[in-house]
Amino acid sequence: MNALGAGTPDGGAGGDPPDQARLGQLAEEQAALRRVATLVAQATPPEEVFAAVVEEVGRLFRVELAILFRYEPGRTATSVAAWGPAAEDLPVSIRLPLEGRNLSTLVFETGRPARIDGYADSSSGPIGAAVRETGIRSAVGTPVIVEGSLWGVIFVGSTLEQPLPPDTEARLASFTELVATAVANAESRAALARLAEEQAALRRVAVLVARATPPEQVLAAVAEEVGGLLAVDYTVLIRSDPQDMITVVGGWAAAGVGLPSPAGSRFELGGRNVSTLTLRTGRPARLDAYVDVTGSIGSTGAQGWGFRSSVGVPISVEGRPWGLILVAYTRDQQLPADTEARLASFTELVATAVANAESRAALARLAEEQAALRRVATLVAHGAAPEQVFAAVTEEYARLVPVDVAGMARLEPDGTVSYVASWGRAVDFVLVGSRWTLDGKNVATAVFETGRPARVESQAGATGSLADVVREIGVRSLVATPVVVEGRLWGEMGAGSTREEPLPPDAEARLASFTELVATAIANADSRAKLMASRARIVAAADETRRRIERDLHDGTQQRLVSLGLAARTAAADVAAGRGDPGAELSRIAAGLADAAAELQEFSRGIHPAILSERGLGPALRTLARRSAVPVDLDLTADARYPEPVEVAAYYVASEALANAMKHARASQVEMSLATRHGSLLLSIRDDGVGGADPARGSGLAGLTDRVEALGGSIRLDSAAGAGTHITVDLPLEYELAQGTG
Amino acid sequence: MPLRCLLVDDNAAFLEAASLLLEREGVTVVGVASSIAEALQQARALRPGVILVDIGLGEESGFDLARLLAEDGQGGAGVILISAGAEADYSELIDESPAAGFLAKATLSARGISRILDRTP
Repeated sequence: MNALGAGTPDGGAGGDPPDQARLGQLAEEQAALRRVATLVAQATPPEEVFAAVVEEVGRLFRVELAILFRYEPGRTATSVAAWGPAAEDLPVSIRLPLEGRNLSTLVFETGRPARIDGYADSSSGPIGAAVRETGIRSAVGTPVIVEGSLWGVIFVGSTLEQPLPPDTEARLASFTELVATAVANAESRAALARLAEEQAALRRVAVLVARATPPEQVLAAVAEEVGGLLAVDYTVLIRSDPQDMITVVGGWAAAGVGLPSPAGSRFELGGRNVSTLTLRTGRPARLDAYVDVTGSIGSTGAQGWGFRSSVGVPISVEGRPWGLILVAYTRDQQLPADTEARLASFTELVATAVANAESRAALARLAEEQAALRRVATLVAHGAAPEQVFAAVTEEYARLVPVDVAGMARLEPDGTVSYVASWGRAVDFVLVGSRWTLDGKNVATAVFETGRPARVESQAGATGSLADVVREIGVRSLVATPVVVEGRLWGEMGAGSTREEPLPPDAEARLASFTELVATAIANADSRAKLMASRARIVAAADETRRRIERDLHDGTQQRLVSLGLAARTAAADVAAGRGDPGAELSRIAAGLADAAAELQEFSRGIHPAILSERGLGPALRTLARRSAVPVDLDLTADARYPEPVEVAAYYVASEALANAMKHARASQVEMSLATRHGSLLLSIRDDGVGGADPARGSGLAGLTDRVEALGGSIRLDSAAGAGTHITVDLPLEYELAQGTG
Repeated sequence: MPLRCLLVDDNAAFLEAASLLLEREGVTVVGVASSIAEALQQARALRPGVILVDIGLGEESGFDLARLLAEDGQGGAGVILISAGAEADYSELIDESPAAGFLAKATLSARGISRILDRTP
């Protein structure tokens, strides 16, 4: 303990009384310190500790005033506790500037204990004046240092003329240490509580994110949590859009304050404001003085919302800038220095929520597209009429993307296009059945010119009748893609939007997956139609053959035999009557019967040559060649037995070709060859006749084509006028008879 | 007085053989025709007692000819349909036709003709 100096208030001089007094004082001081220490150890709120400290020191030093000042930013100090008769005129919680000559200012400036004697004459400044008013004449102040920095000052003042004892500073120091401990403890507890609060807020938002809560709800929750946690006046979540636009997507305002620009409000980026600074730099930004703020969002914040201090922190979603979170004070105060750091912990949660929602949306869209494609594919697989498939594809696509209009057009042989399907959402877009010329320059003409997808973002510059039609209904952006059926440009499919924003970048790719189904449907319908026509032809050919056989038998052989029968009866009558020349008559009858027999032979050979079924294709072709009126040069490198339908088909093609060479081509020579290659039987018949044979004319070849194709083979006719006729047939030996699936 | 007969058939061999046989059997074949137009003309000109009409006249039909002869007032002449086919194949059409009857070509005879004409009222 410090020795009492001369001139103490007690003013005692030497001997026992002073020693006893010192001992008593020491005990008193120890008791006071113990009481305060107990309060600090019990984690008593700092305000109570402050009140206890000023009372204890006031009583201990027997002074009229004890005050605890806390230093504040901006060179100010606030009295947080005061005791003593003189304190009645000095209310607590007044914030005063540290100016002039007074203890608070001295301690603040030096960081060391200070004393002022003769306060009435030598003090100035607002604090000096306030203290002087209380009648204090001498005073001592000791700094309160919390964790190395100057926190405040303890001040004791006496109204007595005598200065305070010289050990006052040292004795006060023991109390300032306790105050510092109380403050430090309280601050760590507050920091801990704040941390816990922040963790709880983050956890609540994280739970929302994990539960796949819709992003707008997550954003609203983040805005509210941040607002409450940071005790700001506004929280605003802003999304950055293309073309330097930003959109308010969520926000929170302290109770009683409205959000002047609701979610969905759009602003143009630019000027001096926190949003622009944050998004342009990709780093946190702050404006503490709302002067020189410009730009549409800036002036809205300053004037509309009354911002005085604001901080923005960027939000990145999966590595790309997404937007920002902004907090603001409307009170005349700066946002704390740790605002940026505290906001940052929330941006990741916002990013996760947005990323999750985006991938969920992408997944949902994919599932939707798959479902739409599946519905169309089912239609195609069930052999729905192409018109039905066209309509389904057009509508499914339009609903999926979504677009406002969609249509499908077929390219006609005359170069015009005719619409086979059209669909409009809330607009009149009925083009089905209409025909258009491909005039001007628009997406449709582009598709037909290039055979590739085309896109426009506006109708500016588009010309032609099709451009006029879509312009009339307010379509701005369009995509179109070719429909290619079996390698041939069949038509195009297009879709358009009346909205301002462009169609999604994958609009063409998605169109293409639908047009592939259209192409399949068309190809299927085409082959189905061909198959049905070929079936009908095969049946008709069989019927025709039977009719011809009936007529040939009836008109030919039967008539001949009937007549011969009548002649025989005439001869018999002549023999009985002994007149005429029965011998000559019988000779004629015999000759007639021989003719009839020959006729039947020829006839049955025509129905099916016996040699073909008995000996095979080689001998049958040799016979055919031998009997041909036009000389045939036969080259048989394949002379085995083949499946019966293959032999029959090849034989009939050869037979028909020879008949044509004689009857129509007026040929003088025919070359015929039969070979096998790559599992196929190849038959070639070439004549030196006039050529110019038309496969579409005369049912002979058409019937044979059906027969060959039914076996999975192909037939080819080359017959340029004057260059002879060349028929080649390729018949797979592993054939499968076409099975009806109707 | 012998029966006067007009033969209508598009098969020349048959016309010849049938004429020879019927002549032998005492029928006078006054004429032959191989189409509807020819037959109608011959019938008007020759006024035969009986007209033998082949059912199949190439692209034309003997049934049509029988009807036309009836409409043409040739009712006096008995019309008999003939064919290389069997009567059963055409019975319905024969019943509907104004013709007096049917004879198979293979069994054609003067007696057969008379039997049909006799039972005709």
